[in-house]
Amino acid sequence: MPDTVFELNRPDVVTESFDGEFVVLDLSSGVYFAFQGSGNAIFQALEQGARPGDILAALETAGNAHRAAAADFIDALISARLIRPAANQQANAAPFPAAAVATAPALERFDDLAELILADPIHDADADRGWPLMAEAK
Amino acid sequence: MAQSSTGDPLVAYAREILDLGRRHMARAQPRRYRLPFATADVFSTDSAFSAACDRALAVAAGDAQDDASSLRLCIADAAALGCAPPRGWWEPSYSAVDFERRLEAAGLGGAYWHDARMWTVFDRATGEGVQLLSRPGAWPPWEPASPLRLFLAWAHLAGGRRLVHAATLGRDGIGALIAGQGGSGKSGTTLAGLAAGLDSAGDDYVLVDPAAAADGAIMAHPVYRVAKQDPAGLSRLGLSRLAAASAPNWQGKHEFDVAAIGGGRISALKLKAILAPRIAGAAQTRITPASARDAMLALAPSSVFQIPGERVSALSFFAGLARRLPAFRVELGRDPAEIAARIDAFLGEAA
Repeated sequence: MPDTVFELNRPDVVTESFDGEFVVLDLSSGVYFAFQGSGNAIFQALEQGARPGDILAALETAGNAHRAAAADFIDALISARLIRPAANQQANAAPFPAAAVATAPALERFDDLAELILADPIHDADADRGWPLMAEAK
Repeated sequence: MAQSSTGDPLVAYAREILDLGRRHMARAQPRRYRLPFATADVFSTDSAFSAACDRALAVAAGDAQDDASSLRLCIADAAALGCAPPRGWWEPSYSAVDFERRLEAAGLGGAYWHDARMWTVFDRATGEGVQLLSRPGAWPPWEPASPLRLFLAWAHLAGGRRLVHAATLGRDGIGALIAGQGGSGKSGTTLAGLAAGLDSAGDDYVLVDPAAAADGAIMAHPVYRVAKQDPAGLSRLGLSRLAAASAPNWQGKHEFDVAAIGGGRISALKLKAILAPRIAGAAQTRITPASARDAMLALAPSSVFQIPGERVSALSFFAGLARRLPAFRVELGRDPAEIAARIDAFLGEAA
């Protein structure tokens, strides 16, 4: 989707930024994320309306060595449902600064807390006993 | 799917549960617990639950605060209330977050524990709450160490305070939040500190008030006075005697009153830092600066995911803590006494 403008997948996905470093929580899955390297800069650009194609074209033009990693990173953001096609497809016209991608971007995924959210009573429930005991589930 | 609160069957059932509880509370006698910023009148039909409250809650010292919430909480099984057994979840899909959003839209807090069809509902306008059990004792295995946890979490939202899943250590009223993933060593660190005479506002959940003190300090208040540790951890800490005093809980950990450790005490702390420990097995404990993002990763997810209620604003709350409090990585050494001494020295410098 190189020409698609994306937005944060609210309200399930929430994020906070600390001096340009993001922490992202998916409230629906209990999984949370952080970004390595230039992932923060790419995520911020996407959040501000840059199109993936424009970001990758800027890296291509600059001969940036991390273009392929950037493409994989954007795919990972979409696959993880952290971003979705925006309701407003007006792209941010500001050129993406290729120099911001000085290191390979990467998505760090933490799922140690997912079981707190991912109780699915429909598929595993016992009609008589209710939801299977947590100790058994483990 | 969000629906209007007026026509939502989930909201209607939550209100039905509240009405059942209100009728019981109108004719029963409560046990009163004066907690930080809340006075809870607990109407329990389950003597074991009452015993858990007596054992685990950190009753506040001194006079009641002017802005304390008044809570009326009913913990009862269906037979005691004379009602039908709690309903099982009836919709084709279930999302904990959607469940909460629908109740929040109606001014309610709520949680559903599938294992035993336990419903917990709280009316945020009146401070009334009901935990409806399918039978006596059918509460979650983690409940005895932190009874009333959900009610207290919801009640404190109005005052801008939050129940935080973190440990604490302090001295002379100055302290640090200790946060991290399971297995990071935060409980062991807290117990090592307590055994060495440091104080704590809690080793699992604490009430954090970001704007309580006149000087704008962030305070941590104790809510529970129970600590947990597995037998191996107690052995490392030289506290194996505590294992003999109680059966292991659902996690294989022993639960005991912090006072039984015989060192520090439970007390409110003015927070000066966030510490993110990691079991390193080094000869000496090292404390080095960490980023606000690292503090956020250590602190926020477990609180946001474990404690229902306004999870979106919860993230902002924890981000505020991470921005205001300096963060440090703690590479834990092998010797509990050395860990405690290092943290004691750190707190002395932070004061």
